[in-house]
Amino acid sequence: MTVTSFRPRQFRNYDLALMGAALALVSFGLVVLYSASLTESGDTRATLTDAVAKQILFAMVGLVASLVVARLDYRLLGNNWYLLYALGIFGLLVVLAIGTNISGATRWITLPGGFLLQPSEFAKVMAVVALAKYLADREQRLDDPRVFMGSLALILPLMGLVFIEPDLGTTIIFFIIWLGMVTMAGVSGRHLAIFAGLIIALIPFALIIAVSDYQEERLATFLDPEKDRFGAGYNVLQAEISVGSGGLLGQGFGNGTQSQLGFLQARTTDFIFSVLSEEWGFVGCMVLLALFTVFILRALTIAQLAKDTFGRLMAVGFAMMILGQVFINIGVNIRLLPVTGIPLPFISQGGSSLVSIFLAIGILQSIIMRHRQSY
Amino acid sequence: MKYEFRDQGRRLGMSKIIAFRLAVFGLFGLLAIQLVNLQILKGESYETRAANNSVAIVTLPAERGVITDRNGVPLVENVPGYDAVAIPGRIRDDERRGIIFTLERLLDVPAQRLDRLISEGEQVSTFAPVILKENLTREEALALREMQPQMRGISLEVAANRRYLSGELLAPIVGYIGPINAEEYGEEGYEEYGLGDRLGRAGIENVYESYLRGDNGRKLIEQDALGRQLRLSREEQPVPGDSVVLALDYNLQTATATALRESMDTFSAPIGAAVAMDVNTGEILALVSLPSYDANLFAQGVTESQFEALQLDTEGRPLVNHAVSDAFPPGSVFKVVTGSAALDFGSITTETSIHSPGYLDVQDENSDEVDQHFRDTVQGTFQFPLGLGASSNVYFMCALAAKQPGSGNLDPGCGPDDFEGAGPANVARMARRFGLGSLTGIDLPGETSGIVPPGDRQSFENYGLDPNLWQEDPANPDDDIGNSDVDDGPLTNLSAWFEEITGFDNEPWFLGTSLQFAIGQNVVTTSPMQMAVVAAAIANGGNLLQPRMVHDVIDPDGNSRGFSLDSNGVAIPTGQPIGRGNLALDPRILAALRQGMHEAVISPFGTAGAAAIAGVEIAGKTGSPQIDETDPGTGKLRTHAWFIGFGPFENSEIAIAVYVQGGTGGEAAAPVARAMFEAYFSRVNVMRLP
Repeated sequence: MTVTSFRPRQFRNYDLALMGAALALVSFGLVVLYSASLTESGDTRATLTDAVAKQILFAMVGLVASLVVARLDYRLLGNNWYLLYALGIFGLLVVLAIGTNISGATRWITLPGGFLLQPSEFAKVMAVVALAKYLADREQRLDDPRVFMGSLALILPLMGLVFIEPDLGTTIIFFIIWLGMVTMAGVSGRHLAIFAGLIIALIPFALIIAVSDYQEERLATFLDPEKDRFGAGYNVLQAEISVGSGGLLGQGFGNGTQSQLGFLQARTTDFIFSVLSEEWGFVGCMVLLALFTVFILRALTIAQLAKDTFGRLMAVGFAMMILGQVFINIGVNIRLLPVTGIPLPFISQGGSSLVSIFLAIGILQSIIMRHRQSY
Repeated sequence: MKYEFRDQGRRLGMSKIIAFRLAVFGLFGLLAIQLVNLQILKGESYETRAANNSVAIVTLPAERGVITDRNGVPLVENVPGYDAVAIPGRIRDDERRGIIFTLERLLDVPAQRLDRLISEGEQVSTFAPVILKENLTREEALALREMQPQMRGISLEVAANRRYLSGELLAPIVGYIGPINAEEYGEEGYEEYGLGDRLGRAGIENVYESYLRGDNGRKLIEQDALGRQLRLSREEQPVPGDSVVLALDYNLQTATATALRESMDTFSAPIGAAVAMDVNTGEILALVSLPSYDANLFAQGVTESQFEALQLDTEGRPLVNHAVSDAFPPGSVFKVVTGSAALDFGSITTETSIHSPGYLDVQDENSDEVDQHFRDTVQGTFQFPLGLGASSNVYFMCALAAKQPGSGNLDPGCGPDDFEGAGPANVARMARRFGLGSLTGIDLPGETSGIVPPGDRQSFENYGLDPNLWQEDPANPDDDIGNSDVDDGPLTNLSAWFEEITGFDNEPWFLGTSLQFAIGQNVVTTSPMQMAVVAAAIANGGNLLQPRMVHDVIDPDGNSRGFSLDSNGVAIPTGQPIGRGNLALDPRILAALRQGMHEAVISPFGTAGAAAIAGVEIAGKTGSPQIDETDPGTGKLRTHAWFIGFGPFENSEIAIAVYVQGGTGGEAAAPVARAMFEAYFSRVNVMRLP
């Protein structure tokens, strides 16, 4: 009896490294989330916090969903890409119509039972599928400016809807996904260059028109957080102190004063990396980065092994999605980048983020499981 | 064909995937570099900042030591006071205006001032408290406590404050405390003070600050981001301050103040000062300076109008300690110096007779015109003791100026005995031997040295003059003895100095200036404290003592530390006189001075008879120099009334200096001294410390 015989035949090529890295990240995330949510919940340390219990539930939902998706042939998604795309647009429109506003941003829909659904997280997965199918179908005509414009036309409505929530961070992630995928697909370098030139030329106007005071303030805060230590600059500074005070080995689990005494805000969500840094130190940060590296490199390997362009482009899209979020989230936490609210994949509290990533994992598994199969 | 295309596509895809992998390592590498920077390289400093965030330091203020008189009479007590305090960092920007306007109403402090205080404090430290108003009234404190919950960042704090038990009587000595200001906070020498702490601002409170204040304790309390205090992590108990025992006798002080005020009222004098000193130890038994101010005004936070009123009194200058920080022409009191110089120099002996026809004129060299006419208050032929006792101006003018440059112009001259006067330089040097022109070193801030003409190169240089301009007296290279040659050197030196201090280019030192100098006018000023030291030195056999306000410093357990401080903050042992040198006068000269001062009190010709008391022999000397200022009441030139003296005549115990800005020494100053002697000798047994 061989090991493989435990798996259903379909799962022969299931990527254990990818799933292993994901589960390790989720586990690490739960530990950090537990610590970060102690003060908020007021629970004693013996019990699970509410936040952790919910996160475990979402992880399990996500895991099941990913296994279901993995069993499906990903090409089914391709055939129904316009449906998925329409669903993504619809979700974002619903948010704008009846969304719940939390601290100045409307990003969530309140579901019965009090659960908050964040459609933009799922829209990212749907955007990857739609773009991959669109580009794969036009593989022979990538030099055609109309194809380039078409890919933009797919992504821009999503970016626009997310931008006015406002959610600048996710807007940027959409753009990174698009950029990675059109590059992988092989659009004309000339078109990309013209597009880049256009963007650069538009930056000043965009700053004047589109960037609200709120974002301008964030930028100013990034440049000099000490200027307003108790206003906008507060968390940037507290995050920096949290990360720095972690040192090499960290303050220890549950011992970070910045996190435990509430100096750090948004510590279960956008600034959870600061909690991890404070309590687990440089070593913990390196472990986290190593797990992300394994995960993203596996996704890129899946892209390499994918038997068709559609699969390859989806794998690259998901790799870009994770890479972009990890880099921006951590960059914000350690003051490399201005504040933009993006969850840290697998780690930040939030069901939508976690489940949507597991859906992406399911698709990735579906791609790798079928790379040697032929119909 | 189709396969080839695909292979090509695959290879292109491969190289792109490699590029994506490199991008992963590149971007994560950037993150890792910043993490190394923050966590490894700067980790320790961030750890400190995290600790500062989470630990609140609560100061446990030390109880300030008290100040008592020599018999333990408390002169100040600690009282709780309520302060309105702001923590600028906890005031929200959008609430700030509202808070300031509410406070303006509650505390009766202008909004601009509150706004400025908060802004200034914010620049120093965001979380450090700023006192908005000290010593709230009960009503203000209650109103603030009621409103406090609606004003984030504002609180009512209990602060230790001082109540000065006899404000006006002792303010020039004890001084007062006041809150540390933004310029001092955190600066060198103020490291121990938090914003809101009070420190000695004047007098003993200032000089003995480091002993009185004690050491604040502190509690380190872990707090969360909302400022909620979680648990005590460390506690250090405060150590109370030392108490300070003044040498002062409260009853003598009161008697002195009463007599001085009475005399000032009688003679419409704007200023008065009196000092009583133990001639053996230098301890100050009484020190009164009038007008004074109520130290409680400052302790309770003086208002701008109150402070202005004190500053507007330019005549009485109540904020100045006139006994220590003010100097006046000594007039005839200075004759003890002139006389000592003439006796020491050998110009005269105690038997030398000089006749005063009641005046001395300086004739113009080229005509019969009188340049200057000096009147004497007495006529007759005097030997030294009675000359001093009767205070003959002619006697001491001659003792200085006979056979000095230009003395041929003196009319009628310095007969009947033939002698050479000591000259102004020798008198100036003798004045310095008496400690004039220099600080006494008393343990009070802001002492003045007064003015004495330079008799040597060093003092010449000390006045900021070029020492190379100094001309040695060529006939007297070593000292002052035995010279009959007249030389212009000293006069050149004095002229250079005189022009420097008067600011007039053409104001050389004339013969007339020397005559004025001989009787303590025009070119010399002294503080009452310096004069008390002079009187004590004559009384105690020539020891120039350092006066001291403080008898002892007592530690919190009640044990004597056995020292007081000098003006430089150096500890000097209790009860042990600190000499600043000896007059180095022949005992016969000292005896003559004492005898002359005794004559002044007992002789019918004496000027100081009003100082005499029953049962104890007193010696003294008066002075009544004129100042170029008319009294608005009488239209006469205003006088300075002086008295210095000591008693008992034999085995002296107490020396006194009195200054009243009005009247004559005999009328205005000597009676004050009498009241002081009476108070002292009637209570002397009570006053003695065990």
